[in-house]
Amino acid sequence: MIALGLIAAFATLLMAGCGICALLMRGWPVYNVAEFVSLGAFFGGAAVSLVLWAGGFFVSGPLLQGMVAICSVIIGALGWRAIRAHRVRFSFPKPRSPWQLLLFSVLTTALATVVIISLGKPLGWDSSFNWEIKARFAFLNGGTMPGNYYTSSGQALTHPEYPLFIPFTQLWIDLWIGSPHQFWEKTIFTMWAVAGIILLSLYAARLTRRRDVGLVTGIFVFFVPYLMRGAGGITSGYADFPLGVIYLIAIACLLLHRSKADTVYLRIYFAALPLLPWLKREGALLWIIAVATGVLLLRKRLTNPKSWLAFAPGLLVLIGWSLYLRVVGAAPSHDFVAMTPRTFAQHLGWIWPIAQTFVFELIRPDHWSLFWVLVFAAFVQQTFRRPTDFVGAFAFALVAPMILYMSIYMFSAWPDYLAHMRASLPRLLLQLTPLGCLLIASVFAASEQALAPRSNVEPAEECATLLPAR
Amino acid sequence: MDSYSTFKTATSGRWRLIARAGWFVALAAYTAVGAANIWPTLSVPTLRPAEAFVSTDSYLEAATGVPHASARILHILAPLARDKTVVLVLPDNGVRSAFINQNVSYLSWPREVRWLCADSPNVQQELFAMPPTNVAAIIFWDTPPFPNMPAGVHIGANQVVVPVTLAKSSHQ
Repeated sequence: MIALGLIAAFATLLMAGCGICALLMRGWPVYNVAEFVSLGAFFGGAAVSLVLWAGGFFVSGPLLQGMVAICSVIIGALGWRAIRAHRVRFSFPKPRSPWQLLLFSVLTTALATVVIISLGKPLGWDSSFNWEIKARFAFLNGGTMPGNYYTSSGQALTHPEYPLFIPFTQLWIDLWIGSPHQFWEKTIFTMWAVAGIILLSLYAARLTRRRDVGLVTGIFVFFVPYLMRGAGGITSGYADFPLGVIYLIAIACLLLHRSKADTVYLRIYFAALPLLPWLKREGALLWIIAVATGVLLLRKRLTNPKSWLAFAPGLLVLIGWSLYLRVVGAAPSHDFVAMTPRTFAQHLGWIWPIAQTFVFELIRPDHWSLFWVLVFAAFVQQTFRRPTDFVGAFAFALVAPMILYMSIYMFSAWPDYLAHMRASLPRLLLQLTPLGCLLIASVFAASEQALAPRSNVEPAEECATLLPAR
Repeated sequence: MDSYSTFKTATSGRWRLIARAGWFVALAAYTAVGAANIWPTLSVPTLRPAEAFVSTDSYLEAATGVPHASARILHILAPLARDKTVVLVLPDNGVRSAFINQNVSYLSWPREVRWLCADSPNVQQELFAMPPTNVAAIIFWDTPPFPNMPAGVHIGANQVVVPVTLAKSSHQ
C-alpha cells in the first residue's frame, strides 16, 4: 500500500514538474532527460505545494488531494502536448571517452553513496521541527495548516513564519501514503540532492562547453565537508542545499542566456525566481539578488514595461505569504529584533566581530576544506580574463548574499549574537555553495569565447551542444 | 607574426600553464582536506528501517533508552482529550529539556504542551494553579512524580504519564 502511494505521489509530482519543464523548454528539439527530470523534481515540488496551499483555502481532505492530483495531470498533459507539437526527442548525454566514462562512474557512485547515507540518517533537528512538523500537523488537519498552529506559543520555536514548499511536498507524500511518515518524507530531500548535483554538472558543462569539467564539478561538490556531514548538509534533510540549487538554476540560466542568447534559459530563470521565497525565508533575500542580477544582465531587454511582469510571480509569492502570516496572526521570528536603522546604529560595535567570525567560518577546513579559498581564487582569475558583466554578475550573485547574511546578525535577538552566527552561518553559506562550484568550473572553460555574450545563435546550434556524441 | 606577438603568446601560454598547475595543486589539496573530514561519515554506513517515526524514535531512544518511544507516547496520549493541555515537567530549562519539550510537543499535537521546570521552587503551585479540567495529562520526564499523584503509565524507566482528562469519546 505504501509502495503504491509513493508511486502515485512521485508520479503526480514529477508529472506536474516535467509538464512545467516541457512548457519552459519548448523550442528545443532535443531534451536532455537528466536535466528535464531534475528540473521537474524542483518545479513539481513547487507546483504541488503551492496548489495544496492555495486549494486548502477552499477544500480539504480527499477532495483537496484529488484536486491537486487533477491539476498535476493537467499540467503534465499540457507539457506532453507541447512535446508532441514540437516533435521533441529525448536524449541522455553519454560519456564520449574513457576519461569521461571514468568521471561518470565516479559521479554515479558518489550519488549512490549520498542516497545510502541520506536514507540511513534520521531527519536533522530543523528538518524535523521546522519542516516535517508542519507536514504532520497539516496531515492531521485534513491537508491544511491548522490555524491555532500559528498562534500557539508552544510552537513558536518551529518557525511558523517559514513558507510551505518543503512541508507541503512532504504532505503530498503523506496524503498518498495515508499517514505522516518521517522515513519516506525524507526521500524528497534525497531526490533534490541528486537532482541538484546533476543540474550543477550540466550547467558547469554547458557554461564551460566541456563535459569533463561538468562531471568533475559534480564530483567536486562532494568534498565540501559541511555539505556531506554538517548539520545542514544534504544528508540531513535541511532546506539550504535545495535553496542553493534553485538559486543556481536561476543564476546559471541567466548566464547561459547571456552566453548563448537562448530564450529557453530566460524562461527557466524567470520560472525559478518565485521558488526562492517559497522555499525558505532567506529565499526572499536570494530572490532580490537574483532579480537584481537579472536586471544587471538583461537591462537592454527590459525597456518594455511589460517585460517587468516576468518578475511578478516572485513578488506575488512574497506578498501573498506575508499577508497570509498577518491574517493567521503568526508571531514574528524570535531570532531577530526589528530591522530598523536605530537598531543597526545601536549595534555598530558588532560589525568587526561579525566580519571576523565570517572570515574564520569561510576558512574553516572542517566545514569547507579550501572551498571558499578556491572560489576567491577563481573570482580573481576571472576578473582578469573574462568579460566584465560575466564576472560582475557572478560576483554580485555570490558576494551580495554574503554581505546581506552578515548584516542580518546585526539584528540578532540572541543574548550572544556570535553564538547565533556560528550556529546558522554555515547553513547560509551552503546556499551559495552550488554557485561557488560553478564559478570555479568557469575557470576551466574550453575557450575565452565560451563565456562571451552571443546574440544570434541559431536554435539548432544551441541544441547541438545538448546532443550526445554521434 | 612579429617578435612582440610571439613573445606575448609564449608568455601568456607560460602563465596559463602555471595557472593550470596551481589549480591542479589547489584542487588536489581541497580534495585531500575534504576527504579527510568526510571519511569518518562514510566509514560508518547505517541503514535504518523505513518506519514512520524513524527520526523522533532515534532522538527519544537516545533520551530514554526505549525503542519506538514515539508510538508508545502516541498510544498513551490517544484516549486523552485533544483540546486540553499536556503539562510536561522536566528537570530544568536546559538544552536537553528543550529538546524533550520539542519532541513531546510534536507528538502531543493538537494538545498544547506547557513546560514546567522541576528545579523551580514554585513548580507545584504552578501545576496546582491550573484547573484540572484544562489538563489532559501530566508527564514527569527524568524527574519523580509529585507526592500524592495518582499512578501513571510509564514511557521509560524515568518517564511517567499521569492522565487527567479523558477525551469525551473515551467516556462513552
